[in-house]
Amino acid sequence: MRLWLKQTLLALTIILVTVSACLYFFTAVQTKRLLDQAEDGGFHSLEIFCEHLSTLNTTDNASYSADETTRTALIQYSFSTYAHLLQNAKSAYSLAGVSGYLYNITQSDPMTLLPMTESDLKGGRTLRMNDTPYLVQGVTLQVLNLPVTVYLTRDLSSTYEQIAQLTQSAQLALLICLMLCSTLLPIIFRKSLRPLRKLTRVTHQIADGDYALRADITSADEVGELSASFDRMADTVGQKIQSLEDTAKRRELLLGALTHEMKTPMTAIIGYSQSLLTMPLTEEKRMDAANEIYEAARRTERLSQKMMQLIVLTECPALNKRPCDTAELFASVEKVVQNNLANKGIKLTMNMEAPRLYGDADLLFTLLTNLIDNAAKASPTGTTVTLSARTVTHAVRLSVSDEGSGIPADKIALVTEPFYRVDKARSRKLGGAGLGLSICQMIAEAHGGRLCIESQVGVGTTISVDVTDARGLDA
Amino acid sequence: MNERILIVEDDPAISKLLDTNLTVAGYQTQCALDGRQALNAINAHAFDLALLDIMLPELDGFELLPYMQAKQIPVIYVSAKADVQSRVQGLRLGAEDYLVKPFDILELLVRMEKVLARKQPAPESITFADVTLHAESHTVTQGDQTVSLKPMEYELLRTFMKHPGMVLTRENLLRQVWGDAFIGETRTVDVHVAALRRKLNWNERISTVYKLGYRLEVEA
Repeated sequence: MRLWLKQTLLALTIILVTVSACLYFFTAVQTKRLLDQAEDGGFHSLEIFCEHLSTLNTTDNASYSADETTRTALIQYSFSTYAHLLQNAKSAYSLAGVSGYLYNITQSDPMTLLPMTESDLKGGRTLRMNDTPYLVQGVTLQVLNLPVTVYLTRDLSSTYEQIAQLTQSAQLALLICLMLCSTLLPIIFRKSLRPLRKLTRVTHQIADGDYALRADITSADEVGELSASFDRMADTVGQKIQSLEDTAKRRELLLGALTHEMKTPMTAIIGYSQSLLTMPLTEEKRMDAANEIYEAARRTERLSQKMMQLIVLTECPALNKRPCDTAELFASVEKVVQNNLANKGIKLTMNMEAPRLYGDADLLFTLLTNLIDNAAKASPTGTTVTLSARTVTHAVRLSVSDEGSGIPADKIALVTEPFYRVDKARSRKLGGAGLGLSICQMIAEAHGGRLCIESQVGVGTTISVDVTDARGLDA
Repeated sequence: MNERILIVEDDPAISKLLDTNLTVAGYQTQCALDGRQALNAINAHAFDLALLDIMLPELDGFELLPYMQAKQIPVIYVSAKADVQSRVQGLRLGAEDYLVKPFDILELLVRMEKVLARKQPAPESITFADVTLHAESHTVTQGDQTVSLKPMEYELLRTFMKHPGMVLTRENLLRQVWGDAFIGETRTVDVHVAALRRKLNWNERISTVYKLGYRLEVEA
């Protein structure tokens, strides 16, 4: 069963019970009041009547001294006079003495109806004659020393009609209330649950893969809260999925690039060896082919080494960070790159402002030699490559500057991507695998930084990375 | 057989590999190292066939295709891209064939021959030494004698005569002459080669190359 239907039925039941109880109580109270009124009115009339009848008591003493029959006749006469005077279509008086009715023009028999006790007489008794309700009440009094009882029989039709009308009105009110509620409640509940339906729809759509969708319900109630936290969850899930997709995509690209990088030397190796085996080549061409095979095999070897380095860095960057001397690090770097630079006629200058730094000396060695190799490849003869360690805020900035060809501004962001080369043909000729800067970037990230590449075409390139200063740690 | 082939390949090693082999196979070649050079080449010279790499600087192989088609140069893609999508794209754009690197040289040569043959109105006859292969009548003459060959022997002889001096491996020959279905039954090749040697008296001409296969010797 739908929630709105459940709520509607529940609310309708509660309203129905409450309203009927209220109306019943109200009707009951009103009925009692009307009946009390009728009773009081009757009693009042009886009292007035009795007062009139009691005037006999103030007459001369002669009447008292008369015999009982005379007094009875006198009372009877006086009663009938008043009764005729005061009775009407709705009410009639009766008089009873000790031995029976003295006067009764009604069809009822009040004496048998009402036991002779004062309270019963006053409260009276209702009876039904010819489908008409009557109230019979009585008052006992002494007239001329004779005990008599005056009865009033009143037609209560109007009172009962009023009560019936009241009941009818109450039923009508209940009916109207029920109709109103049964039409309005579903509308209200459905409207209040509309955001939930929207949320459900959005959930379904997100489940179907539309991760960009949000519920975006701004109401300040629980549904609004639910929507807000749902949207937050969708955001987080979306980001997670995005990052997973990005990782998968990057891995796929890397794998694709690697396959392609492997394919080129493989094609050369297979092609040239097949040529050697099957084609009638001249001696010169045979040497050429053998040389190409050698070059391609060397290229594959370099590629696999760099790839291993990259994979090791990606999978388990086991860092051996400790404070180390800048001079020591620079000296070992210089020893390795010296030959290469000297062959190309490039000068290396070193600038050690920061004496100590904190990091993995082996990785930083790889980083710096890679950067210097790159710088050497980009530099013409007679230029200078500068290796420096400067102190900046809470860090040591290691940088390698060259006066080489520079990197075009739109390519700077791409050079750290695996296998990206600004000048593909040149890089191959110089024996690059296209992985050097990717490895440098990974090392920089392992030290909590990133490569900062500043370059101007034709002027030179400076690549720097910030590592932790060891001076604070030494203390 | 003096067709002009345009080689568009950005890797110098591969470019030289194609160049060397095609030259040995008797083609005239020109190399272009990027898309721009390829465009200049086809504007300057006429070509019978172009071998295109796909990933090229300047203009890639797919972008070059319309220019080739405008000059009515048939195209064979030779690419490292092995995915079905690239193959389908290349062939759908109108390339004649698609070869994936690393490629087999004989396979490349045979595919090139097939593409080139489509351009020629009639199949050509081949003469090697005193043997002539008459393509239109499917007959073989040695001097003025007609040599009776079975269909497969004829095809085998044609393959040898098309690639004189080249070592043809048994696998190569099976694939080119008999088709992929016969791969593995290299004995078939030996039997047919023996028949050819006997019928043409070519015991010296068709030499056995140790471990590899057979070669039609250029100099007797």
